[in-house]
Amino acid sequence: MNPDSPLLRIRELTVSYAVGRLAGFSQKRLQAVRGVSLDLHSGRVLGLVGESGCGKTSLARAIIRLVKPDSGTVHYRDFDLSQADATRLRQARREIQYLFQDPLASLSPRRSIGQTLLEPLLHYRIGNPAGHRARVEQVLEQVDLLADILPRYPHELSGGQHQRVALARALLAEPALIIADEPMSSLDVSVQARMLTLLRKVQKESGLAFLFISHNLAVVQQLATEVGVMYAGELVECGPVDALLHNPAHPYTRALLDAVCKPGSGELPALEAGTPPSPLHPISGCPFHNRCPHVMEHCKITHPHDNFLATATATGGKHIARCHLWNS
Amino acid sequence: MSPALEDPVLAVQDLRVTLPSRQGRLAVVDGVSLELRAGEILGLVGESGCGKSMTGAALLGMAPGASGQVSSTSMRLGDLDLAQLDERGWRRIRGSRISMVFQEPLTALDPVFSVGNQLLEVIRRHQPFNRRQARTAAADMLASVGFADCDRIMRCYPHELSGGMRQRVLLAMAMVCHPQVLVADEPTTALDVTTQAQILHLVRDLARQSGTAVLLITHDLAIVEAVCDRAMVMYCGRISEEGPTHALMQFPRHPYTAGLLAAMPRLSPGRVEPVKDIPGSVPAPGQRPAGCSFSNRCERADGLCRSQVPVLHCADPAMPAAVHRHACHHPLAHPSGSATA
Repeated sequence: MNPDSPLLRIRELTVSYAVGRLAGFSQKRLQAVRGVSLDLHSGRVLGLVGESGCGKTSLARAIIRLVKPDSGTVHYRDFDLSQADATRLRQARREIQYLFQDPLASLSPRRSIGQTLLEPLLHYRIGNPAGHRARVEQVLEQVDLLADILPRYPHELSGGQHQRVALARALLAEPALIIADEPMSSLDVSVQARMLTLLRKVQKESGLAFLFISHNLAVVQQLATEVGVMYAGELVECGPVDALLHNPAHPYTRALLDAVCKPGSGELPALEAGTPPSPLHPISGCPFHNRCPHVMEHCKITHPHDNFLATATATGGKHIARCHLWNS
Repeated sequence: MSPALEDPVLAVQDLRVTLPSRQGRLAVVDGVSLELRAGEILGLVGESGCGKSMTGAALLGMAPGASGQVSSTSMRLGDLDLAQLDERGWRRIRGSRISMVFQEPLTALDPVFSVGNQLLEVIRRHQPFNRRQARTAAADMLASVGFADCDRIMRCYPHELSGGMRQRVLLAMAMVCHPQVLVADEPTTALDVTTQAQILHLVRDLARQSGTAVLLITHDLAIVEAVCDRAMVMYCGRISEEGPTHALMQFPRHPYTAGLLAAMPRLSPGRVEPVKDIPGSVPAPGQRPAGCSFSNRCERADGLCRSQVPVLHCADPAMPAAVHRHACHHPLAHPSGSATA
């Protein structure tokens, strides 16, 4: 594999769900992800932000084919996951681990933490069984947990511990990429801070790539090297974290930044009009045109394409905005 | 108009909420005193398990479970002595003079009744209106929480609305009888940033226009700073620091407040300030350390902290207003250099 080629390369990925009565036979489809293309290089952290219902989770699930995409490709290293057979998919799912939003629900209530943590080693036949215990304890230390947690059950642990057990389980599979779907949203500020510090440490030590999904831009900024902004199923802007937060190119990114309560300002954030279009009835042209302060006549008719911005960045990352304002 | 000059609408002294346990009754809210003035928004912050929600519920005379008990040395809503109320008395004022908005709007609404039905029930229970007057009041209230097509919303059922819309409906139900006090328990936690901004604007505008005093319970200090006039930080059932929002945020004196501030991620383009956690976790009610309950997580703690409970006292004796108070034996230094040892 070419060292410059991305670990994960997604092209024109589209996901939709059948909805309505007799959903299996229905022609009505909800467009959750619409033509998303993005690259993630090894060792980088891509933060994916957007409002609820914008397709962040559907995109993440489509990557490891927990939902089957309608069209488009997902290349992990050299093979296309959207076409992969069961053996290839199994191999890829070892290397791409998933942290779910609700950590308690992702742990079996009937298995002790020790049993849960042995599972990836047994399932993927990693190492020899004599060394399993030592390996589990090593990873536990990496996530700041003590070995006395092993005989305990999920209901005996706190929310922060659940999330760290889930992280330990993911690390035991020796992944190259971790997809973390809102891992912080159910945690308290202080526990969240501990988890953020831990994720940063783990990422630095192991050089893992992360796809980090959150609706909180401040949390994303703590970890991400790149940020992708999703709106109505589309990736409307994507670029290096500094460029995107400093000079947001898409009006929606600007609106999202304005809506955050900023400490130090002592003010209520600005109000933004309107709501996202229903995914059942997508609007013509740019999906943001009905809320956009810079709307032009052709925004309502033609769908914008990805524009590369010339903003020079230290990391040399590409900065893309799907907006007519940047048509050259 | 400065709210600080008026008499408080709600004044509570030494509020306690206790639960039975094997070790006897445990205080989950342990001597909280607070005052709310008309139009004022008071923030109550702290981690989960600190007693914030219990405090909020206790203000509406609601004790946790069947065996929880609420007590106080005095509890007054305007000229009404809340401590003397029986359950029937509480029912008369809940929803009319003091009301509440909950964190999870879907569970707070009844799924089998339309929005209009639930809103009208509140009005008809507390106001001497006929059907038509009640309908008008309901539609007006929905309009003032930002709904354009009130008639359609009234016919909707909770599942047909989005999270932000449900929260606005709950806010309408809470405000429709123009209460003197609104307790809002984490009203925006389940919402997106954009919807959160919308709800916070509404809460502030409603408080200013109708003169309702708001107790805003949240774990997010950024929200407190954006909308609250004053803030109280709660830890292990006690108030650890209180004061005007600005003073509390800029110059926290209690190490717990400083810890919460350091743990909050701040959006700052260009420069990332890594967050810092507070070591340890909130102890369960039966396992609180003696003395200052924060002493086992505090790096400033010494023998005094572990033996003697600090009382809430004035942060800066030089300030005559005496509004910024903390409960700490070894507070962080104030930049003006007037720190007490």
